[in-house]
Amino acid sequence: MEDANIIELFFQRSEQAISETAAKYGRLCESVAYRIIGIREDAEECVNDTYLNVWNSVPPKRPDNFRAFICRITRNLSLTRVKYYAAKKRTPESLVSFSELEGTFADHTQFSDGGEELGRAMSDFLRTQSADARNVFMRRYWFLESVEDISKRYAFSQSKVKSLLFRTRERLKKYLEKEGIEI
Amino acid sequence: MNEYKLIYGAGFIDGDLVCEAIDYKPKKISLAPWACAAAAVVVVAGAFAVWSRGLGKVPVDSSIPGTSTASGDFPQFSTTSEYPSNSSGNIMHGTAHGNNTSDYHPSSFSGGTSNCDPGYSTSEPSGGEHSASSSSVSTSDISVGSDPGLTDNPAYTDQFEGFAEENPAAYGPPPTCEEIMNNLAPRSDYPEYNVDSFYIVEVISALPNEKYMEMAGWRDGYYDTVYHVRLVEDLISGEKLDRSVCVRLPAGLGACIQTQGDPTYAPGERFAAVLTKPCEGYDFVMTVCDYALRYDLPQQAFTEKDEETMLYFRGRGLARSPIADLPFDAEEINITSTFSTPQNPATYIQKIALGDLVEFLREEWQKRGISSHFEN
Repeated sequence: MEDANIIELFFQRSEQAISETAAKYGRLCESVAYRIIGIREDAEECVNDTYLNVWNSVPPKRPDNFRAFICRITRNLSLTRVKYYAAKKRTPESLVSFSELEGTFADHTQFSDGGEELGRAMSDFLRTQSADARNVFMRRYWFLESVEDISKRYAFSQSKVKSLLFRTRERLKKYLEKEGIEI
Repeated sequence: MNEYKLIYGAGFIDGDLVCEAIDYKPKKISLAPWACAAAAVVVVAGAFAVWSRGLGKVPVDSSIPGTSTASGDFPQFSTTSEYPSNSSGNIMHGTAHGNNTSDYHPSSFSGGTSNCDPGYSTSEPSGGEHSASSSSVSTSDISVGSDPGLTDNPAYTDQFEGFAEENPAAYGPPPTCEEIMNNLAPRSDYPEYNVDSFYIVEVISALPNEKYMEMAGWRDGYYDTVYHVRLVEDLISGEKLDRSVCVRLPAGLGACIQTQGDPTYAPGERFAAVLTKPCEGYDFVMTVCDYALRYDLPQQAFTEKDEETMLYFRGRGLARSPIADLPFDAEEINITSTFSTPQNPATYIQKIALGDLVEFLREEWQKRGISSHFEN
């Protein structure tokens, strides 16, 4: 079923909207959640919560890009779950490689910061990068995949992935400084 | 940069970029049929030329993994006879078996197109053994500060972009002799880490790293720099050598991304390191015990007043420590030296006599069956 038709079902408050969403995007959402949380049961719960969130937000929202919309909800719910674990000093395996995360996830106040400006600037910046650099970056920081997983996905060496990430971060840093955004 | 903020900000990235990342598949490098045909003609012609000179003694074994590539973009040796090999005839980089190392010229690398391509990888160091620096300053006079004789190496243009990320806390306390020897002990489960010997090597060039990694079928995620080097001496046997090999150094990612305090070596620089044996599937020599038994031999080391060759330990920005309990004199120093970029001088924190270290290693290795010389 086309995304527009699924959205239409949500607008009609038809429960078929949920089953169609699950059929089309269930596995994608589950993989997004699982990569972030690293616990299968929690990932499944996040996906179910995702459907509920979509149900509650469509309508009134009518997302332009339904796939990205639903993935974003799953991601946010998964990160919230990670925040919960971090507060209990149980950092999921998937996030151990992010050196600064345990402390910062435990700091709930940082989640209340508006990130729209940063996200917009990152989008503008990423559009200027090579496709490899852009997508490796997205895989790392949006999907929170490990360097190893990215290297397998794209058949790159791990060192190449690290190198791409390093350079993209350096360029992003300069770009954000130029835009007056502190990070 | 705070990675948490990156992750947080990434949540607001536009949806089309998210979808692109979901669907993205990198382009595969492929050669057009006419290019393949042209390449085949060149290879056949080259092989014929080698054969006609009576040098075609090197059979190609294409079964060794990590050596085939369809990309003309990767650094490659132009003919099989130019692969560096060891004395026993095992090729340390590439596919063939042979012993004609004298035919190898670094200019046979095709270079690269990466923006990290240092551009110097195709040039032989000029000016003899130690073209990088020339000074008669005695190291005994420069235990603190910057050694003017070691700085300003003209062999590299400054390709420096930044530092590789390191977590100094991960290194823990200084290693002990016992720990080092345990690390070097032969292991049947990791034959690629078994020690060949303790060598003096002279850098010919740093390879364009990303291309080399692609070609070699890279297998781990550490930061590495791959050098084409000349083995100058097997310090354990005392044998003088003149063999070309590739050496992997776990430090930095080439000239562009370096480890702080441990810059890329310039052509002509020498260092002493424990090298593993080449083995099938891992077709290049790599250093063992990545830093604790790697010492530099700046040219000044050969001008000591007592004519004793001295080794210098790089402290990696003081994040790493030399072996804590060496059973001979070790002088603490603090010298900085510029190699590939003035933005990342090497920091030397210890100086020891080469003879002392070799004697110590020889004894320990003999007792423990370490290295090709003493293994059972």
